Amino acid sequence: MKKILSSKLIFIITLSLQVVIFAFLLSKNIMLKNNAVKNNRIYAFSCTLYDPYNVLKGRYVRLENAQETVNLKDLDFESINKENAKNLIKNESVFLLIKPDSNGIWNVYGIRKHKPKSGDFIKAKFNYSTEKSCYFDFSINEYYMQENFAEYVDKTGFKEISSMKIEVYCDKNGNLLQKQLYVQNGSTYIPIENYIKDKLAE
Amino acid sequence: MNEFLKSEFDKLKNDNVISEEIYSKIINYYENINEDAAKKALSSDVSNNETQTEQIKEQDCVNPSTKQTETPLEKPLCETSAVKNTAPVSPLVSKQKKEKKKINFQMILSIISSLLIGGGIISLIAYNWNDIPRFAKSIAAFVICIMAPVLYVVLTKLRRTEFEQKSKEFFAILWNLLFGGSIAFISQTYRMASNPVAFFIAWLFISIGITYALKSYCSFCFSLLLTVIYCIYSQQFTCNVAVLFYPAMFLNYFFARKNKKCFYIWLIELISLISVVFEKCLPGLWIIAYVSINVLLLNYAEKTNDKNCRILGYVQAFALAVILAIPHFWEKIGFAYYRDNALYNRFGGIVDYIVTFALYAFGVWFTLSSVIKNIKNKNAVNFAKLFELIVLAVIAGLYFCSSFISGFSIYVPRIFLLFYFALFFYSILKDKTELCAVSFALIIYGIILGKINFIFAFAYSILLAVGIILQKSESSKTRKSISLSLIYILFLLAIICRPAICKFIIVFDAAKECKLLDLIISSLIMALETFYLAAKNINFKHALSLHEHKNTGYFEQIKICFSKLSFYIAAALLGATCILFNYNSLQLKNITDIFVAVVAVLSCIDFMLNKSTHSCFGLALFVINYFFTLTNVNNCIFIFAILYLVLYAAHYYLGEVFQQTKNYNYFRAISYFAIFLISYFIFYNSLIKENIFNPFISVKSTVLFILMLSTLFIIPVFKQIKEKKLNDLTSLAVASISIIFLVFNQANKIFNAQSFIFSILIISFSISCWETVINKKFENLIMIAASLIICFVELSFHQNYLNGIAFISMLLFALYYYASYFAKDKKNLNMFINACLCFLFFIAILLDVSSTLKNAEKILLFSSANRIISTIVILPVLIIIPSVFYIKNKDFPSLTCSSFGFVSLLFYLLNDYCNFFDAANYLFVLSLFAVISSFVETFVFNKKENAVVFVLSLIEFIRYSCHDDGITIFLLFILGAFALFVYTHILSGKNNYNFAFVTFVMSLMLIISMLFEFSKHSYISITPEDCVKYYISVSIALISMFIIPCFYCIKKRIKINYVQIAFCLLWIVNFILFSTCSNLNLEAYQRISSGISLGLIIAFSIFGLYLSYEITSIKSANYYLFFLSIAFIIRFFMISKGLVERGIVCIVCGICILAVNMIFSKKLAKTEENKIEQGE
Repeated sequence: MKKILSSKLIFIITLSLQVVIFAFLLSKNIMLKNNAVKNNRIYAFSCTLYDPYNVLKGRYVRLENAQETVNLKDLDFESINKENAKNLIKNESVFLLIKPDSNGIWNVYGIRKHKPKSGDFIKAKFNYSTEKSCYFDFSINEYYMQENFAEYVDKTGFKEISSMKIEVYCDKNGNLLQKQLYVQNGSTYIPIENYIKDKLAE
Repeated sequence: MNEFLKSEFDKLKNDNVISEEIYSKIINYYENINEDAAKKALSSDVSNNETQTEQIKEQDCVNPSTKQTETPLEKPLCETSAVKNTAPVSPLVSKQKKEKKKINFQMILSIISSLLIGGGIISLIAYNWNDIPRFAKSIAAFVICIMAPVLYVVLTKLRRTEFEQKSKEFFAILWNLLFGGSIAFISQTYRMASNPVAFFIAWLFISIGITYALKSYCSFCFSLLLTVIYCIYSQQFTCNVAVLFYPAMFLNYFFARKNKKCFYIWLIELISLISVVFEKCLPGLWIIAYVSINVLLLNYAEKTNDKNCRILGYVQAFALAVILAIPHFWEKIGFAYYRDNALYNRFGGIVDYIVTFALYAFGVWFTLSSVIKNIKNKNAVNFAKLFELIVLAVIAGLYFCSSFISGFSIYVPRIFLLFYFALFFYSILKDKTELCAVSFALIIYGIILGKINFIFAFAYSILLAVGIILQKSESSKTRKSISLSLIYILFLLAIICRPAICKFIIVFDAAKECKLLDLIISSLIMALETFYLAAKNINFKHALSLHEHKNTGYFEQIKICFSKLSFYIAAALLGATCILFNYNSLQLKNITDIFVAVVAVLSCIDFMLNKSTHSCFGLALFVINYFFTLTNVNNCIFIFAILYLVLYAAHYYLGEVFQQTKNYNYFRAISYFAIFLISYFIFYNSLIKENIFNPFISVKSTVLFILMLSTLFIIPVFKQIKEKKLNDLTSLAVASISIIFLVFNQANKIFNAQSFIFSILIISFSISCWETVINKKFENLIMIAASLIICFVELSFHQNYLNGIAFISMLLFALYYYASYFAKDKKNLNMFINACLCFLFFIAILLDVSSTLKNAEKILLFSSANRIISTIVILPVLIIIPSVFYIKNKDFPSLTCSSFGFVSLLFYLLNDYCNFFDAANYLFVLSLFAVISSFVETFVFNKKENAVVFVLSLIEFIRYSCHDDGITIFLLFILGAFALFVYTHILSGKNNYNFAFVTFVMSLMLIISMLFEFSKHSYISITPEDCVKYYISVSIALISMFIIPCFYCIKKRIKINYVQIAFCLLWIVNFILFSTCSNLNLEAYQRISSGISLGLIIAFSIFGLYLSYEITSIKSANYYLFFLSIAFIIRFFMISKGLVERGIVCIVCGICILAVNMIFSKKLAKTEENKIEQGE
């Protein structure tokens, strides 16, 4: 009887725990999104596609964000001298200060080891550095696409898609959440799914 | 009640041992118990562990003396069965066993079906990703998340009973997968940033929860797998601290300890992952942790007397010691190299210190407490325990020293070697074989590792090796092995110490590092070891007691002592020469020479006094060494040629002089092995150097040598001639030729390595044949085979593969003929040879289809003349003589085989001159012969076991008419299996279908066909020239595979004839379609063919299912389902269908497997119930 009770108890605990995890995940994203919208922290970064498939996850499109590579000459004084940007350690979490250009695309101009008190910034992980540049890993470098869409991207060999940008939500701690991947179609940007749908319909 | 028991009681009653009253009481008692047991078996769920334990308890109450699941009825039965093997086994036990097997099998299937269904659902969602709104996806994710547990609860409520274990496993896996899937699903829906570590943590702990909630072993394994992924991901890829590893393993422990297998898996994972999860702030901390774990493990093994744990402990000790003997692991470790940067987490470091300290403290405590306990109880202190304590202390000491002293690492291996030595010494004292082996392996490894002194290592290894063998020989009480061990080691030494070989062994590079300290240590150890072993072995009292009891003469005693003493003299000599070598810079070669010479002389004396067979090696060693001293060459051919000669001499003297005929064939076999090695080395060397046979031997220097050899051989030759014995003509001829070649090879290039081997082979072959056929000494058959194999090795080198295979075929055939001719029962032999031939076909095809081989040039190593000579030798022996015998005895199937041999030879000979004699045609003809012969054997001579070979060769034969579609081959194999099934059915004359066998063949075929499917390799294409061949094969296939079975089915009016006929007709349609369309190059055929193929597979599987249902065989039903699923899945995945189709296929297959299993289980349960009722 005791055994049955205990296994029942564990069953209930496990079930409730998984519901809690599920709810936590959902609420975390909603909160992040709301926070970003409220504080107007929706940023766009230019990016390129480079691999249409992930063995474990399926049809993910790998993104190479332009801002993952930062030229040292573009960085501010503090990043080079005080934060010692060149000698960061691999996988070390850093905060990247960003500012928009005339096209609305955001670029990195500074690196901080500690969270800045104000301004626009995102969280990233340091990868490696050369004499001229620093390389970072963003947590948004994979974008899921429906199988036949990703297959189309793979078949065209990324040639058709020239310019892209990804919009992200960012909370007050610099955590990111993908909003949408856009493709330049003429002078405007349209969501990649719509773009491929049109192409497939043709 | 059991009849056997009843008859026993009847006997007792009739013999008046028991009264009638007692008799009736006993009978009533057992019948009551039997009824109770049957009722329990019906009502209880056997798979439920809890119920099982209750049953055991109940039965234990009735009969507390037994702790097995036996009824009181079974207990006396089991006891009686010990006396009489014919005693019947209780139906309850066999039923439980069957149930257990069924559970395991069904458990696997339920896992497969759950995986298929899960995969199918994922595929369906993935395909329609964009069209599903985000809200719906969230709801779907939530439903997926809680689907499995809710389903489980609802179904349990509906059933009102707990699920069986197999169902629980199904739900556990489904729950695990769906939870992970739902989390991934929701992250994907909201495009969350990837955080795999958090994902794995959540999944891992939920998985542990599921393990306990459903008591699922699969979930337990899954959680262990997740732990591995989490640790590796967290520690190696993202540089986070995998601190949750400890609580996860702790939680899993309580489940693991319930089952031994689970516990071992858990333990292995724990040990392996410790080094992964360490934060590595303090480098090298793992050394202390692992050594402590090892000590704990050994303690645990000793306490629980768990053999597996002990083996694991020894293996770990060995692995650890091997790793720790490498200086690299001792570099840059300790406090001096503390890592204090952002990459390393200090908190993680603290956890490491606590864990390591705890492990170390526990290790010390357990060991110490055991030692103290022994002292308190005034028992002898366990040396192994002390050793463990010392190891712990030394490891800690070494670790701390490494932190402060740079360059300390070079001393570590030496210290370790000393420890191994201590362990070894202890194990010798205590006669612990396992420890002895481990420590010896460690020592050898330590020596080979290098970086340690050569002399020290050298002396050390030899003495220890001899010690071990000596110890073993003493325990087995075989005196001969003492000299044997010595001689073997010395022989090895002589070979190793050759300068040519020396440079390949790392250990000799370190000779310069020799220091006085090493010498003192090595001398001390040697002295100790020698003293110990001498004291243990030279036991004059023992010799005297031998004299008293067995009337052994004093001369015998001296001889025994001498053979033992020779070792110590040799060992002392070795030590002395080693030390001398170090100070006087003597050449290594000289030392070896002196050493070997002394030992050789000793062994010669031993040989002469004790007639010790093994001392012949000493003689060989002596002659070889002498030859080396003379010539200073390291030519392999000489080594082996001389070895052969000396061995032969020893063989002769043993046989003729000492009358030890027992070892006659043994020496002969060794001699042939030596020849084989010669041939191998010659060809190996010929690739490197063209003119290897150049030993720089002058006639003057070899005079003494030749004289010695001549003495060895002239005496036997004269004796042979005198007594008119021709038995050993081979050996003598070989010996003479060897001498001729050795002496004259420089003067004339005819006497080269190749001709040497050929002459030896021809002589040995012909004389072996002579001995076999004329003197009817059939043991020489093996010599014929050996000669042929050597010949084959020579021929197949650089040859094309057709020749090689043809040659093996002929060899097999020869064996077949000679062995079967003299064997009384040919049944097994036929099967074996035929199976070998069939296997050869497959090999040949595989080689043939390989494009690289196809395009490779045919390199002919031998000239046509050589070919013709070899054919002249082979033809009569292999083809003509057997054929004559076959015709004489009217043995027609064997005659077919004879023709088969002839074809092989024909192709082999004519391959160079005509393109027709290529591999494809050869195989075609061969398979035709195989079909004919096996057909005759099977149907004419009613040897039903040949049906297997028949069908296999048939498949091989008709494969020529196949195109390169894997599914067609798959179909063909299935049909082959079907034909086989029918034939076995026909031949057995019973109504039981041998499903297990057929399905086994099918599964094998399936694997092959799948390989072809994946390789997409076009191996046989039909050209108009091949049409004749094609139609022949098609007609034979149709007749044998379908028409005969169909007629049989109609004739016998068996139930399933219409299905079979329909099936055959369909196949014929497909065949005709294929033949017409492929010859006309119609593209549309591909679609039709693939459709028909798939249809046939479905038809065949349904047919199989139907048959399985008829006989209620759940296993065969699942086989058919499994094949069907694989065929479907492969089909749908190979032709680039979308995820929708794949998803549907997966789900359908999963549901099918599940549904069929449920239906069959129900039917099975019903039939069993009926059986029990009928029995009652």
